[in-house]
Amino acid sequence: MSLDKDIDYGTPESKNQELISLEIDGHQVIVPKGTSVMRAAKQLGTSIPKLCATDNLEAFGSCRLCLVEIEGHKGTPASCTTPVEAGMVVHTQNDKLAKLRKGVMELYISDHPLDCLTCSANGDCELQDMAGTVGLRDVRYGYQGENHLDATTDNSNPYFSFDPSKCIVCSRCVRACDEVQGTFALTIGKRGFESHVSAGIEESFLNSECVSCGACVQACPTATLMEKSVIDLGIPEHSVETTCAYCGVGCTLNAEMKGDQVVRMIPAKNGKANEGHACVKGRFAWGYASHKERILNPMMRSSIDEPWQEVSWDEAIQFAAKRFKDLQHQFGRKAIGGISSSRTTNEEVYVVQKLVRAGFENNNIDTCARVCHSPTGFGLNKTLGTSAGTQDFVSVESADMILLIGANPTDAHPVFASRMKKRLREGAQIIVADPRRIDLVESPHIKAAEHLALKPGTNVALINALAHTIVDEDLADWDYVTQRCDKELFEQWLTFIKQANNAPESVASILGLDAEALKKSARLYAKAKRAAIYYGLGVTEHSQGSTMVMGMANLAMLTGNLGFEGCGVNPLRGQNNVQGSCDMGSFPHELPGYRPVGDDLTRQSFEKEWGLSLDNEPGYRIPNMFNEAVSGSFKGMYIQGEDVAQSDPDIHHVEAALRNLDCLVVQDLFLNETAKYAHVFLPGTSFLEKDGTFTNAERRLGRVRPAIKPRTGKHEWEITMEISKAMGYPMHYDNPSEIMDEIARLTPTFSGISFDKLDSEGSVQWPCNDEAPNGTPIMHIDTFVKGKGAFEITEFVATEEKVTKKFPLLLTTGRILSQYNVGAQTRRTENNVWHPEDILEIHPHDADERGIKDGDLIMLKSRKGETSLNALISKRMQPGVVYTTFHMPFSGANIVTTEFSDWATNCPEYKVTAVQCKLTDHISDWQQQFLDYHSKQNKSNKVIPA
Amino acid sequence: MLDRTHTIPKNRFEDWHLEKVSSLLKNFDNEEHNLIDVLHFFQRTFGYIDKEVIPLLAKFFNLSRAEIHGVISFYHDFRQSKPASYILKICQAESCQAMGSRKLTTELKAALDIDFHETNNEADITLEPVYCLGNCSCSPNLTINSQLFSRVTSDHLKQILEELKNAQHD
Repeated sequence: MSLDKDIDYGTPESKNQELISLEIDGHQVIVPKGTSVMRAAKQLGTSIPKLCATDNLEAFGSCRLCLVEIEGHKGTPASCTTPVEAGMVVHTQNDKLAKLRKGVMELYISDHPLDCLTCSANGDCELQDMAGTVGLRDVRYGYQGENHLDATTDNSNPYFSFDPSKCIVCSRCVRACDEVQGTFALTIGKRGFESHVSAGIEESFLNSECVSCGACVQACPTATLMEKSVIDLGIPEHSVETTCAYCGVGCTLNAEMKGDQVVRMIPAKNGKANEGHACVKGRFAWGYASHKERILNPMMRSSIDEPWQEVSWDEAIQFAAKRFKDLQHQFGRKAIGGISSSRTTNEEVYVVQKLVRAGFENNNIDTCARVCHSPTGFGLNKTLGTSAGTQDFVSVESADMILLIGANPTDAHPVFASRMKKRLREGAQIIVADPRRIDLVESPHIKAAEHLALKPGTNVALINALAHTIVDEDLADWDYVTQRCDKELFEQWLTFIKQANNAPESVASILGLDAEALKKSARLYAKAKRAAIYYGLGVTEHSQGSTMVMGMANLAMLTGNLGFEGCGVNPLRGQNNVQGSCDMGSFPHELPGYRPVGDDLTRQSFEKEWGLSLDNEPGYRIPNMFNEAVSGSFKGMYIQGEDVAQSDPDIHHVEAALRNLDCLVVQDLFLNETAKYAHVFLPGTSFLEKDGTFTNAERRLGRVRPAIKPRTGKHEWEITMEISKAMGYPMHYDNPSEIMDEIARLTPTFSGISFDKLDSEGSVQWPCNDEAPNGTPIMHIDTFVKGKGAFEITEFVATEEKVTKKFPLLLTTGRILSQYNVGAQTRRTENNVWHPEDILEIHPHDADERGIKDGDLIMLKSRKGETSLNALISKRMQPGVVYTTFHMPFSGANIVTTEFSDWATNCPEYKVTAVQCKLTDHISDWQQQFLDYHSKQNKSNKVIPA
Repeated sequence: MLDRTHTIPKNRFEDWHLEKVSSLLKNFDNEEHNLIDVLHFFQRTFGYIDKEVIPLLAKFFNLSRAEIHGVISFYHDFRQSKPASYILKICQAESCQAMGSRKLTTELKAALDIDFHETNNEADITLEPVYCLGNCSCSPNLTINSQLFSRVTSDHLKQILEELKNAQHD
C-alpha cells in the first residue's frame, strides 16, 4: 500500500494498436484491444470493487469481488480477467452483483481479525475500503468458525513484518515477487482453506530466497505485509517525490512523511527509471540519514593528531580558505585541488568544479568516476561522440539478445535487473561474460544462453574474438557500416580484426574458454534482430578499460546495433549521480558537457559568464594528485562525498598521500576513513535534505526534493559558495534552480533543462535543447553524435599484473545487493543483517589445495599488502580466481589492489590483482592499526564541542 | 473378494538417499513441465518426497524453492514422510458418502487409531482420503496399494483389516 493515490486501473495497460468500443453502464468507451473490462471501466471513472487486482500485476481473478454482468454472456465473469470485446454491454452495478460482492466480503471478513482501530493499516487498507464499498454490515457466518487468526507473525525481516492472520490470500505478494521483482521467493502453500503465503519452503522471510525489495509489501492490500516503520509511527500524511541516492538506476521515490519525519519510501509509479519498483537499499535503507554517528557541526584541527574541535561554519570556512591560499602562495597555484562527489546533486558538483577552476584558479578537479566509469566517457566519446550510454532503461524491454559484460545487475542495479529479467522471461536471450557465475547466469526462470567465464583481464581478447567471428562468418551489417561509419577507420579496423591472432582459436587459451562458445556467442549476438550490450565496472576497471569500451562500440556498430530501441551500448553506472558528476565538468581536462579546457571557444564562454580567465591546461587526475602529494608538491585538497581512503586502490599509497597534505577539507555525512587525515570537516547533507537533480545511467535528470531541511543548517552548494567567497572568488546563487540555469546557459546538451521543465515532465534525458526539447531517450538515431561512427583499433595487451608462483590466484572485486559502495550509508542501516562483513569467495579446488574450509580466516596477500577475510567456498568462482567486496573499511580489500590502471584514463585495475590465500590465525598489521586507531579515537580523540 | 488381500503386494519403497535421488534426477529432462512426473517418480520409488530434495529440484528445473514447495504442498497425494507398506485410501466423494463411506471412515480411524495422512506402525497401514475412484456404481470404494475393494461394508472392513494383519505374519 502507499499514500500515493494514483489511479489504480486494476490491470496493466494494453499496448495493442487496435481500438475496441464497448458500453459500460450506458457509457461508450474506446480502449485498446486486450484491455480488461475492469480497466476500461476505470478509464470511464467507474471503480469496480477489487482486491487481488492492481495495475502493475497481470490479472489473476481470485478475489471474486470484481464480478460484472455482460449482456449475452453467462454468469458473472470477473472483470479483471475478461478482455473487452467490440460491442460488449457491461453492467458493473446492480442488485445481483451487490449481493454477490457482499457475500464474498462476508466470507473474507469471517476469517479476518476485527481490529481495524488498532491495525497498522487503519486508513490505508484496501480490504477496509472494499468492506465499505460493498456496504458490509454484518457477517452471517459469525466469527467463531474455523479461522487463521492464531497464525504467528514473522518479524525476521528487519524492515517489514508478515502477519498471516490478516492475510486474504489474494496472491498479490506472490505475483509481485514473480512479475515485478522476478525472484519467485513466495508461493501459496497447500490449497483450499489451508492455502497460505509461504516464503520459500515455509521459511522465515529472512532465511528464504527473499531479497527484501519490498514489492510484496507495496502490493499487499491489508496489514499482512507491513513496513515496521509504519507499525511504529502510523500512516504518513504527506509525500515528497524525490530520487534515490543509491545506484545509477536513479529510482523515483516518494518519501512518505509525518511532519519532518520520514515514515517510509515508496517507489513512484510515474518514475520513468523504475516504474513503481525499488530495492532493499532505496526502499528501506534510508535510516543512515538520522544515524547517531552523523556529524552535524563543522569541525577543525590544526594537525591530524589533534582531537576535532567543533567550530562555527564561518570559522571552519575561513580556516580552510586561509590554509588553501597560503599553500598556493607558498607552493604555487597548482598545489591544491578538489574531488567532487558522485553522490551530491548536479548543482552541488557544478559549484565545486567552478570553485576549483575559478576559486583555486586551476583545473585540479576530478571525481570518483576516475575510479569507475572514466573509460566509458573516453571510449564512447571516441567512437560514437557521447560520453554516456546510448539507451533508456525501457529499451531493454525490446531487446532480443542481451550481452552482459562485467556487470552484476541483480546485486548492483537491482531495479534494472528486474526489468531485464522480465524481458528474459519473455524469451530474450542473454550471454553473460563474467569470471564469476552471477545470478543472471542461472537463477529461477533465468538461464544464460552462454556463460563466458573468462579469466580476469582478458575482456579485449574476448570482444576482438567476437568481432573476428562476425566478420569471418559474414554476419556483419555491411549496409549499416557503409552508411553510418567512417570508411577509412573501418577499413583499418577490418584489416586489424581479421588478423589470425584475434580468432577465437587463438585467444581461447588466453580467455580460458572454448573457441566454439565464443563463435556461438558471436552468432547469437550478430543474428539477433535487436542486440543490446550492458556492462559495468568489470569492463572499465582494467588496464585496457577504455580499449574494451571502444571494442564494444565497434561490435555494436559492426552489427548495426545502435540508434534504435532494444540495442545499444549501455554502462550500468555505479553511483546515483556519477553520470551527472561527469556531465557537470568534474574532469581536469573537460569543462561541463565534456568539452576540452583547451578549446578556446568553450573556455571563453565560461570566462565570460564567470568573469575571469581560466587555465587552458588540464589539471591533475586523482592518481596524479596522490603522486604529487607523496612527492610533496601537492598540498591541499577539498574532497566532497568520496572516501578515497577506502575506495581507491593501493590504500597504503593513498594514506601516504593524504598524510602529506597540509590542508585536507572533507565534506561528508560521517567521519569516514579519509577524514582521519582531514584538518577541516564540513558536514554534508543526505539526499533527504538535498534540493537539486541527479542524473542516472540513462542520462535522465530527476529532481531531488528536500523532504526535510538540512540537518546541518546549510546546503552543500551554499558551503561551496562560501569557501569560494573566502578564497576571493565570490559566487552567488539564491537557490539550486539558478545553478541549473547557469549550467543550461553554458552547456549546449543541457540548454533546454530547467527545474520548471523537470517539475512538469518528471524527468528528462539529456541532450535536451532546441533540437530535442523533451530530451533524448535514445542516442545516435539517424546519425552518430560524432557524425560518422569511428571504429577504433583495439589490440589486446595483457595486463602487467600476472599470476606468479608467489601470487598464483587472481583477485577480482565487486558488490553485493545489500551494501552500497564503501558502505558509509548501508553499514549504518539494518542491511547489515544480510552482509555483516566482506568475505572471500574461493573455488572448492583452490580451497582444498590450501586446506581452507567455509568460514576459515584467510590472509589475502598481494605484492601491495595483505588483509584477512573469512572464506566462503563457492562454485560461483572459477578455479584460480577469488572474489571479495569492499563495503567494510576493516576488510581492506584495497590494501591488496595495485597501482595499475587504464592506459587512457587511469581508472584503476581493481578487477585483476595477483594474490595468494593462506589460512591464518591473526588479522593483518594494517587491520590491527585500523583497530588501534579506532579504539584510540573512541577513547581520547573525542570531539570537543564548540 | 476377501482372498484378495493375500494378493496385495506390500509397498517396497527404497530408502531415501539424497545422493540416489540426485543421480536419478539426471535421467529426466529439465523442462519445467516435467516437475510433476519427477515428483510422481520419487513418490513411486521412495513412497514420499523428502523436503530436502526441494533445493535440488529448484536448481534442476531453474525454479525457486518456493515454487517447488508450492507444487508439492498443493497436491495432497504427494506425501512428505515415508508411508507404511499398505496405503489404504478410502473414497470421500459424493457417491461413496451416500453409500456409507463416512461411517466406514470413522470406523477405520477408530480401528487404526489414526487420522488421515497418518500411519499405524503396528498394522503397517497409512490411511489416506481419496476423492472418487471412478467406480461409483459399486460404492463405497477403497483401495489398498493398487487393489480396489468395492461395496465395502463394516464387516468387510473388519475382515480386510484382520486379513491384512495375518498377511503380515505369513
